[in-house]
Amino acid sequence: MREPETPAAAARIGAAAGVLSLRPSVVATLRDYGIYLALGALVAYFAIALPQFRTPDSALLVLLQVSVIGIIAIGMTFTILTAGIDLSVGSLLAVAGMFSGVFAQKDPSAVNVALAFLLPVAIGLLGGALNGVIIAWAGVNPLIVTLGTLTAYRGFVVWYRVNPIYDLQPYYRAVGQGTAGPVPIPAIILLAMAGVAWVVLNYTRYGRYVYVVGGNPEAARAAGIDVPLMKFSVYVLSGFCVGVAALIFTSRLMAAQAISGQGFELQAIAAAVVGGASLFGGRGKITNTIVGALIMGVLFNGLVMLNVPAPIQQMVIGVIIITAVWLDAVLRQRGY
Amino acid sequence: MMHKVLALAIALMLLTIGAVGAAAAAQPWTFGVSYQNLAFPYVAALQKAAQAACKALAVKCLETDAFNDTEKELKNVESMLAQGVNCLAFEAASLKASSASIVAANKKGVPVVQFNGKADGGQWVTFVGSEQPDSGAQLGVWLAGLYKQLGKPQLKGIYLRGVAGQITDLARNDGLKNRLKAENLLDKISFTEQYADYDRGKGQSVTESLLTRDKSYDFIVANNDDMILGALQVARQFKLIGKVHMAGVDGLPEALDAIQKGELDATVFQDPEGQGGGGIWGCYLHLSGVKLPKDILIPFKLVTKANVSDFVAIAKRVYVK
Repeated sequence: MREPETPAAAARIGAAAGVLSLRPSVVATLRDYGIYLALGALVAYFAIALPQFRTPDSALLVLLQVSVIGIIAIGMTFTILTAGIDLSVGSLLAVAGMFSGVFAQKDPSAVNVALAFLLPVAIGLLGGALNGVIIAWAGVNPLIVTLGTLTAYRGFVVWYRVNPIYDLQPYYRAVGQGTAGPVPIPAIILLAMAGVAWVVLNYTRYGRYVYVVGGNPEAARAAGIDVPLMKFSVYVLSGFCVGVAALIFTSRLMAAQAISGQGFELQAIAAAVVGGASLFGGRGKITNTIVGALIMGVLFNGLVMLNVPAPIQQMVIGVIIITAVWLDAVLRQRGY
Repeated sequence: MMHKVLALAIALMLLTIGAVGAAAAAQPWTFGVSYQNLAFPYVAALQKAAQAACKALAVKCLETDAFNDTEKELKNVESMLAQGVNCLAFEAASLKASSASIVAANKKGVPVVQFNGKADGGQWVTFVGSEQPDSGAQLGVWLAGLYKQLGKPQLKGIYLRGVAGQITDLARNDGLKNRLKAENLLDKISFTEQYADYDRGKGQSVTESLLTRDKSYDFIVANNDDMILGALQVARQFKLIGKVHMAGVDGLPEALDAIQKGELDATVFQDPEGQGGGGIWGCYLHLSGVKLPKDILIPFKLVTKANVSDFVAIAKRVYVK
C-alpha cells in the first residue's frame, strides 16, 4: 500500500533526504521502487553475462521455479502484515502434498481426481485454521505456535508415511508440468493469486483492516475491528496458499514426500522481507513480495547457469537479504 | 585382503542366518537401538530390517530416534543404558560428536555395535556397514562403461552433489573421481557440479536451469536417488530420455522402477537389510561369544537393467509405508 501523500509524509521524506543528501523525490522513488531497480539490475547483469539467460525460455523458467515459494510468500505477506509469521508452511505443504499424492496414485475416477486436486487445499485451510485459532483466541505468540506446528505437522506426515508416493497417474502432471501456450501453468496460478491478493489488500475494507491490525492494533480495536478474527483469517489464507503450492509442488515432482518443503518458510519470509515487508507489521506490498521472490529466483537460476558454486550462491543470497533489511531499517529510522 | 574376505564371509553368514533366523535360540536379552533420523526413507528401511532381526532372534529391542541431533542422541542412549540394555546397536548421527554416546555405553560396560553410520571415538565391537567411497566408485564404473558404449572422445555431464562439506558427499565424490582416475578417464569426462542438498525438488530446479542453458550433456549422475529422480522429471519434460544417461545412488524402489522402464540407466544399491539387520545380529553374536572382526562390510552393488530384478524384491520388502 502506498503511503498517503500527506504533508506530514512529505515532510518526513524531506527530512530523510536531508540526512542522506538526496533530493526528496529520489528518496521517495527509492522507497517505493528500489526493489524493481534491484531486480532490473540483476536481470541486466545475467543477460549480459549469459546469452542463454536472454531467452524467453529462461524468463518462463524463473517464473516456474518461483511459483511454489511465491504463492506461499503471498500468504506469508498477509501474516507478516498483521505483525505475525507462519513458520509451519513447509511442514503443512508436506502434509497437503502427501494426501494429494494418496489420491493421485489411485485410479483416475472422478472422485479420486477431485480429491487429488481439492484435498491439498482443504488440508491447507484446516492446518492454517488450527494455527489461526491458537494464535487469535488462545493468544499465543505466532512465532511459538507455528514453530510448534512446524514440528507437529512434520511429525504427523512422517508418521503417516515415510516413503514417497511416486507412481502418480499421468493426468496429475497437468498442474505442475502443464503449459498454456509457452507459459507454465504454475506461473499463471502464481500471477492470478498475486493479482487477487493485490486487489484485496488495496481495494477492499478487509485489506485496509489487515494493515491497521498490524500497524496499530490499539487503533484497530478502538475502531471496532474484530482483531482476533482478522488474525485468524490471515493464517487461514496462508494455509490456503500452502495448499495450492502443495498441489503444484507435488504435481511438478510427480511424487509426494514426507520430507518435502523443509526450509520453505525461510525462503517465503525472505521473499517478503526482501520485498520490503516489515516484520513489525503494517507495512508491505504483494507486488513487492512477488518481486522479492523473483529476485531470489533470478539469482538462483542465473548463478546455477553460470555454474557458481553453491556456497557462494548462499553467501550472495545472504548478503542480499541483509542489505534489504538494513535498507528497510534505515528508512524506518528516518521516519518512513 | 584376508581380512576383507573374512568380513565378507561373516556378512554373508549374517544375512543367511537372518533369512532363517527363527531357528536361533531365544535369549532374555534387551538391545538398545539408536537411529540417526527416521524421517529418511533409508533409515526407516534400516529400522524395518532391525525390527525383523529382533523378532527373528526373539530379543527385546528398545528403539530411539536422534533426529540428527547428537545431544538428543546422547540423552536417548543414556536413557536406554539406564533401562539396562545388554548391547547398544548404534547408527551414529555424526562422525565426531556421536562418540559421546559410545563413551557413555563404555562407562556402563555395555558393548556397542555400530551400523550404517560410524562414529570415530570410544570402543566398539564391530561396525556393520558400507564404505561410502565405494558407492562413488560404482558410479565411476558405470561412467567408464558409458564412455566405452558411447564411443565419443569426450563426455560431458552434470554431477548433482549432496550437501556441501557433508561426509558422505565428499566420500562419494572421492570414490567417483578416483575410479575415473584409475581408468585414465579423468580428462575425458568433464562435470558441471552443483549441490542440490540430496533433495528432489532442488535436483529438479538445478537440472532445469543447467539444461535450459545447454541441452547437450551426455549424462547426469547424482549422489543420491532423490536428486536423480528430480532430474528425471526434467529429462522427461525436455524430451531427453535416452539422450542423456542418468544414474544415482541408494536403490530406492522408485529408481528401480525407472530402471525397469528404461528411463534411468543405473543406481548403486545400498543394502538396508544387511546394515540394519546386521546391527542386531552383531549384538547377538557378540553376546553369544562369537569373535567378530572390527568391520563387517556390506558391499555396494551397481544396478542396471541387466540385474535390476535381483534388487526389486529386497527394495519392496524394506521400503514399505
